[in-house]
Formats: sequence, C-alpha cells, structure tokens
Amino acid sequence: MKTILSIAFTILLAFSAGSQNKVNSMKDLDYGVEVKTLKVKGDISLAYTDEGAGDETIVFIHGLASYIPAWKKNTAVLKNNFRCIAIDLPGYGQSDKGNYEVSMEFYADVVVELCTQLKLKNVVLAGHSMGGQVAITAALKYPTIVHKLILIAPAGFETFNKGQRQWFRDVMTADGVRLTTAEQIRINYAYNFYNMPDDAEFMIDDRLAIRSASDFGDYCYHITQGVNAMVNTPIYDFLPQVQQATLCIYGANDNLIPNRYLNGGKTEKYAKAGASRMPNCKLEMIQDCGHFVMFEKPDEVNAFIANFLAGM
Amino acid sequence: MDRFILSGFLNYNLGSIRQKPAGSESFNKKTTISGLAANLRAGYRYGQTPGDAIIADMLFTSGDNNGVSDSKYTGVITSNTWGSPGGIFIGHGGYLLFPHGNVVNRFLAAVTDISNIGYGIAGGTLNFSKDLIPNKLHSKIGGAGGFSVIAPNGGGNFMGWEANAKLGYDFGAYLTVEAHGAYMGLGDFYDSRLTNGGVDTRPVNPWVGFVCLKWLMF
Repeated sequence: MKTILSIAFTILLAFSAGSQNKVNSMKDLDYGVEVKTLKVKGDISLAYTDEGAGDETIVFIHGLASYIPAWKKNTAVLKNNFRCIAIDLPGYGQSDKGNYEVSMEFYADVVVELCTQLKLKNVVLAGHSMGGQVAITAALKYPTIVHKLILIAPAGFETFNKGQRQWFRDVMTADGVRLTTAEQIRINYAYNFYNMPDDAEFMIDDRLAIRSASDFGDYCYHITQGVNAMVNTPIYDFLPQVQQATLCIYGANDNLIPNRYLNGGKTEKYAKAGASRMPNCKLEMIQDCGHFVMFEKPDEVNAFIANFLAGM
Repeated sequence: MDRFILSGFLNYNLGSIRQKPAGSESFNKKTTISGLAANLRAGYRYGQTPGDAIIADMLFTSGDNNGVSDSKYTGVITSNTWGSPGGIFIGHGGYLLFPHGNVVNRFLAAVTDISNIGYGIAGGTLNFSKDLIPNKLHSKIGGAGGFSVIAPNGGGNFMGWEANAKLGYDFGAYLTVEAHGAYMGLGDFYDSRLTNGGVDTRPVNPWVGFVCLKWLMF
C-alpha cells in the first residue's frame, strides 16, 4: 500500500512540476518572433517586434498586465499588408521595469518616441484596453504623428466618480498582484473572454512562469501604477478633441468594461457613449465576444482593421 | 468562468464505536459504522457572466432504519450530532427543503443537515439563473426535491418539492439588494408522527419570502 501511495505521489509531483514552467527574468519569455529593443526616455530599454511592410505602420499597445504576444493573431495576418510593430510598455514583458513616474502621458511619450526613433510615417496606433487610453492620449498630444487610431475595448469610455477611483487605488496593490493564486489567475484570464480559446492558455502559463522572475515584483508594481494612471487621468471629457479617424471595436459581452463591481451593465451602452463623443469614430460591436477582442475574434478584428485602413 | 462546471464530494465513514465500561480495563465494541455521503454539482454557463448558468446539485446520504439498536449504524454522522453546525448543505439554491445561507430559519429546513436525522437523503436542486443586466440585475428560478432513503414509521419516502425564485440588484461594489421567495410542498415523509412534530395530519406547506441587503465591507 505504501509503495502504491509513494508512486502515486511521485507521479502527481512530476505532473505538477511539469505543468508550471519558471523563468528567471521576464526577458526570458518566448514570444516566438524576434524581439528588438531601443532606448527611450534616456535609458529605458523598450522591447518591440517589427514585422511586415506597408505604407502604414500599426503600432500595437497592449493592455494592463499584458504583453506583445497578445497581438500575435493580428500581426500574423496584418503584416502581409502593413508594417506591424508591437511593443511591451515599460514595466511589462521584456521591457525595463524601473521606478518610473507612470502616467498615461508617460506611456504616450514612450510610444511616440519609438515612432520618432524608427522614423515611422503614417502611424496608426492600435491600443487594447489600457493601451487604448494610451493611444488616445498620444493622439491628443501628438496629432501630427498619430495618423489614425484603432481602439480595441479601450479604457476611458467608462467613467468613475471620486469614490470609485479611490476604490481602484485601494484594491489594486502590488502585494495583491504578487500573491494572486494560480486558481485566481486562471479565473482572471477567463473573465477576459466570452469563450476562452484553448490557444490562449499560453498567457496563463506565462503569467504563472513569471512569478519566479527576478523582475516580477517590479511588474506587479507597474500594474498598480497602470491602474492609478488610468483613473488619475480620465480621458472621457477629451474625446471630442480627437480628430484622427478612429476605429473602435468592442466585444458585446465584455466582463471588464463596464467594471463588474462598480458599474455593471451592457458594454454597448459605454461603447456608444464614448464613440459618439469622437467626431471621426466608427464603432463595431462583435457579438459573443469578451474583453480580449483581438484574440477571441481575430478574423473579425483583422477584417475590420484592414477595411478601416483601406478607407472602406 | 469555464462553460462547464463540475464538482462534488464523497465521504465515507467506516469504523466502530467502542466503549470502556466503568471499572473495566478494556474497550468493548458497541457499534460498527458505515455511512456514505456523495454530492455532484454540474452546470453549464450559457451566457456572459457566472450569473448566466443552469446548475444541478445532487446529494445522496445513506440512512439507517433502526439507529444503533442492531449494533450497526449505516447513516451519516455529522458534527451536528453533538450540537455544532457541520454537514450543512448550503449554496445549492434551495431554501426550505435544504437550508439556505440567508434564511433566518436556516437550521430548520426540512433537511437540517445531510444526515437527515439518520434517515438519509436522495435529492437535489436545479437552478436556472440569468443576469437580466450583465453584472447588475440578477435573477434565478429553481426547484428542489428529495426522498428519504429510509421511510419513518407511519410515513413515506417522499420529503417534498420546492419552487423558488430570486432577484438581485447590485448598487455598488459588493452592495446588493436581493428579494427571495420559496414554497415547499410537503411529501408523505411528514405523515409520520416521528417527523411532523407528533400531529395526526401532515403539516401545512411552508413558504418563505424575504428581502436582504448584502454589503461586504472591507
């Protein structure tokens, strides 16, 4: 009996160990494509991928707690017609993670500095969630550089009162992020989708793997800073000032927008409210789709983007 | 947040009760114990939120028709036997047949704990929930039914059926107002004087309705 139990325990241990990879640094994450770096803001190493070619360059900006591979189903297709550059914001993925004064403007400056250094023309910023708010901020601050906007489930269309903003600041702590259990990590990712695709599992694997990374603590800090940056500089009142042609795409069944704890309700209400404030914005709602629109419904999103950039 | 939900438990009590008579140096085996409790919860999330789901919850516990008089006990022993709450089956969506966490008479449900006063139970609940407004306005209708594994003297096995409904509205973070209602039709299990409080007729069917404010404060 003891022999059987010890064999069963060994097998269980082997499976447990095998299912949880670890990385020493978040720079060790495998993106499956060549990752380049350049220095922004003086000494911040910014990681990016650069694929394809075309008259227009799409710069992809990920959302909170995300990274470059979140766009892989889009760049894989869109690179056939466009130059596709996806970045890891400072604090995320393979980019440096220092004690920066994080704000939407800081992120916008970083994105535009990348565009300037790479001498990009006809820049189209594509931002998901928090990245959408970054893209809007950049479009407002640098209207001559940002040519068009693609907003995918952007933050900033949903507004929060003073108490709700403080709730965000109180709830999101670096320790809270750092100590999130494996089970809760899985639940959190599942909330990003209407039907979580099997091929999204790598995001969970990576999120579990980075818990052992030397820069994981800094990453956790940056997530809290990202939340603070979003709530500290609401963008809603400035939406009418965005002059660039804009494509906005939301999943109709987004469990993150509106925030399910603070507001709840149908995503479409918030999507329409925000999009209607932007003078040149076209809104597309995708049914049976959650917050991670570009990964859950890549074919629809890629088609919308291609048509938008083709002027259709 | 997966589409399919499956969970459950299986407990099996196996052993014996031994007593040490006064003045004796050795223990005497008095009663052998063999009790089984099993639960299966299965569900499907058909919509956007965890509130868009259909969930079935099934419970079986073994019973015993003569207590320990034959030195064998095949019912389930819960810590309720000694007066502290344990083995209480909540979170299944029922109110009257099985105890509910928000009902003031939670310990006075038809099945007070999973041992069902030693008779055992085979029953369950079925709940259909829908978020009328996603993550905002929640609704649920449900039903429950149960059979006692052992029929009490003078009564039958059918414990009864229950129909219930719930409506909840989120006012803010962890702040919800809920209205609940449930009705239970008693079965022939309650024809027995052993289970109906010692009266000659089956008691009236119970119902409950209540409104509650849930506020989880940090």
